[in-house]
Amino acid sequence: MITTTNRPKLAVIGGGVTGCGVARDLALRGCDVTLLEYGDLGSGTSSRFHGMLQSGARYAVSDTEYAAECMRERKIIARIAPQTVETTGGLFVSLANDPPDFAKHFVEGCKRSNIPCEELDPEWVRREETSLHRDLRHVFAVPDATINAWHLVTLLADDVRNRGGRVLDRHRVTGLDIKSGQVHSLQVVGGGRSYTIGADVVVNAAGPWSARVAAQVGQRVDLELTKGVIIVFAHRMVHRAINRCRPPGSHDIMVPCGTVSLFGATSEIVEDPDDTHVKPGAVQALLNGAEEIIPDIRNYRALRAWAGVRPLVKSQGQSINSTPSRSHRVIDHGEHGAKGFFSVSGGSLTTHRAMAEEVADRVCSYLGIDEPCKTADTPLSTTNSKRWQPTAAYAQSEREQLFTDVICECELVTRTEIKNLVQKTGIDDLHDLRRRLRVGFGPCQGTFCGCRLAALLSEYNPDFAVRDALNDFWVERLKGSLRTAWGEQARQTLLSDMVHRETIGMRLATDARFEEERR
Amino acid sequence: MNADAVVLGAELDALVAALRLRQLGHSVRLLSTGAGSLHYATAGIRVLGYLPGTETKTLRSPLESIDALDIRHPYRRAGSQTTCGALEWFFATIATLDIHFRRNGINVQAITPAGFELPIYATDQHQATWECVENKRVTLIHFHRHHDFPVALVARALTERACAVSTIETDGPSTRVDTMSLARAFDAIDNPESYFADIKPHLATNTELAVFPCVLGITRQRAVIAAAEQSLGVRCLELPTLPPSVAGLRLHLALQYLLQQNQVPIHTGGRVRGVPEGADHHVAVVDGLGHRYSGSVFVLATGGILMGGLEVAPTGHILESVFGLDVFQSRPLSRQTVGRSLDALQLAGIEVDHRSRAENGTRGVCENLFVSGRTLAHWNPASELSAEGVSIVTGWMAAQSAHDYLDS
Repeated sequence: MITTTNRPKLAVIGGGVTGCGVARDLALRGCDVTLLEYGDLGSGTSSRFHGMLQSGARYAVSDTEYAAECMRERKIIARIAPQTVETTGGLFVSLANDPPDFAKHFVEGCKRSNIPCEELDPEWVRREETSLHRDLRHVFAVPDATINAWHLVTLLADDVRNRGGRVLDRHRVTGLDIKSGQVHSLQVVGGGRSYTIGADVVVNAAGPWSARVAAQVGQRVDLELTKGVIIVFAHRMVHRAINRCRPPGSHDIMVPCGTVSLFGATSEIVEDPDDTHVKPGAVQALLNGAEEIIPDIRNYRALRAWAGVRPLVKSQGQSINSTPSRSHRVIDHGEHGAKGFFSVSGGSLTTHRAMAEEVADRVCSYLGIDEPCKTADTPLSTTNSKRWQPTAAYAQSEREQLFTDVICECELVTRTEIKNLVQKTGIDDLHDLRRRLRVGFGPCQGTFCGCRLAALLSEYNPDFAVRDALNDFWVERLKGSLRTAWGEQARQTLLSDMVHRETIGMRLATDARFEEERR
Repeated sequence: MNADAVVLGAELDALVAALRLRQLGHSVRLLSTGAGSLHYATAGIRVLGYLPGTETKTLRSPLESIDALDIRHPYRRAGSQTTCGALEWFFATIATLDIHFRRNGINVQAITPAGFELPIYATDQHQATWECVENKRVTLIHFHRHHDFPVALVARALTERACAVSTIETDGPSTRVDTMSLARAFDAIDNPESYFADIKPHLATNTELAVFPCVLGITRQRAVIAAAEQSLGVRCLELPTLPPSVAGLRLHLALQYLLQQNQVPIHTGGRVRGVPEGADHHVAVVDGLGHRYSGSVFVLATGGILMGGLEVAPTGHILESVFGLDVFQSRPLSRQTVGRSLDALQLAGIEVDHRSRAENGTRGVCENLFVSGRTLAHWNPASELSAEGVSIVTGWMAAQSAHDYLDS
């Protein structure tokens, strides 16, 4: 039993969904936990994916065990955080050039993995999903869903705080001290000062950056980093998450997310976890893949393209072309002279809770704490449990006649929402606002709301650096939208250029390079 | 439907070309698909704010800096003399509508909606510039919930530049508080004096200058401002809002009025396609409904990529929408830096010969097709701040060349 006097101090490095999940699990078991994130919560890999909460069907043939885990976890997340999940359902479509016998294996795999799978009449699907290729051979419905990752991460972090834990975002771990083979403390820089945090256990959940964190104390985490590029389109052109009914690879998922659709992803091995540079060739490759599923894709409006880096577990002797493993691994560095230091890598957003449970089990067993995991049965505590619906914001602004309150017309974000958030959290960064409220996500990519947001923030913070903030917000949006600058989005990009440079009077730093992306 | 000249577009260069051709005695027809980019413009006429690549250094005398531009730039093609001539013609022409711009031959720094600077050659006579407000006691008067006038940013910028600033938030004359509704409401207000008299008691006693967002009427601007100055007892100026731009709309409507006065029919409708006769000659354009507009000359003022005159394909290739002309573009469009990528999009366009005629690659020059404005290659309005100046000059040149062709 833990008492307040002998509570061991735990630190979790990494404010993505894994780190937040681990911190929440430990907090629920009564531990004293501090979460450290060097940027904004959920700004790395956690939010740089296609937005799908997997049923596991995608892996039903290649990795039944992982597929079954996805299905279990998908149900749990929909139960404990329903406000972040939209239960769109998913379709696996078998097209003319997909392997014809895969459909049979797929159905068997789903059965083995306990994933409900129902074959649909292609004629019915053609009527329902009008943008899909007409030549559908087989279509299977599975319980895929979509998830707002930032919302989930924010709820997890709030839960950690509510249970007495500390969440320190924009805090960088600069050093890790080990005394006589045992984790002792962390050096941290944040909030304009540097200090030392005592820690009996440190969990390294820094995703693609976890090898760097481990290297600080001479420990190894073997990762295979792969970069995945995703294109965002301006419409919900499908109602359900669409997968190809073939062995999982790249260029094969279209997911309706919020007011937009995401198509992904490429897969390219990279060395640098910060390499989120989108090459023009990757965009063309994605369009070619998307065209097989949605023939008219080039006439839809693409908003932007961006990339994330997956921290996959490196398996021995695996060739590059085989399906990379999505399983996870927990490393106890105690075996290599760093007792109390644990790393977790691999996995996915869907299975983050199970990973967190395994990590917390290992940590508790190391500390001799006998507390069971409660995360699967404890809903995320929050005052706002409203479920996101595509039309909710439209309906609300009509009902309450809030037309003049709308600051971001594309995503219908209101002044009241922004004010409440700023008052509650003290956020003074346009990107942080964007990740929480989706401002600047729509077709205009912040062209019209950027100045309005800056005005609001400067009301609260007299030191708010208007020009720098606006410039940074604009250039970051530009980097993504220039990669998809064709058709209407080319016009939109030039309109954004016109409004910023010709109307507002911004000057573009001409040396802003695409590859230097800010998280 | 037949006319000597068919002008395609709703941009400033389209209006200028149509007006000039009419003045030169030709029958003119204007076809447009919409509003044109004046609706996003600031209040003034920008001629040249920066030389490309040196955007931290504001040019003092834009007309004297033209020779420093790239040899292919539209101003270089025009030369200083033609450039000055076209601008003088423009200011004289709109003066017939009693619209007067302030200009001294040098750039002044306008105040932008974010409180930044913007070098402008000629400003509306009621437009606030940094010169006007410096060291003054200023009252900013803005309208409740009018969020396209970010008053917090403007007030802060003015304070940083040593102005004594106070702000008054008041209800606009309409229940709807978007920029266009406010401007229309000021046009419709019966007794503007009494509206402003209600604000007067809130005005700080030592105020020297009252600054409003640029919404004080579309067609009745001068009457509304005169009423404001009378009721408030101080000089009143306007400061541009975020788009849409009431100031740009005023200019657009004034020019459109002038065209209508001169019997130039204006058609607003769908997109049109050119009807060629041989490789280098066009005889008509046809819209989606099959209406055919014949002409002896055509002015292509369709506004480039921004306004839909040029289309970018997903492959990155740029196409000209009406006549299928060859488009100059540097390849590839995607460069290493954001600035260069934008440059590549902005600098793409139609190349023309010394008489503004479209050069169509191996197919040669289109003898009766003249190009102007953003559809032209080799200039970047966003980095040079030259949108209105180049539009006026190239629209005027296209009209002159078309006139020469029609007369020969």
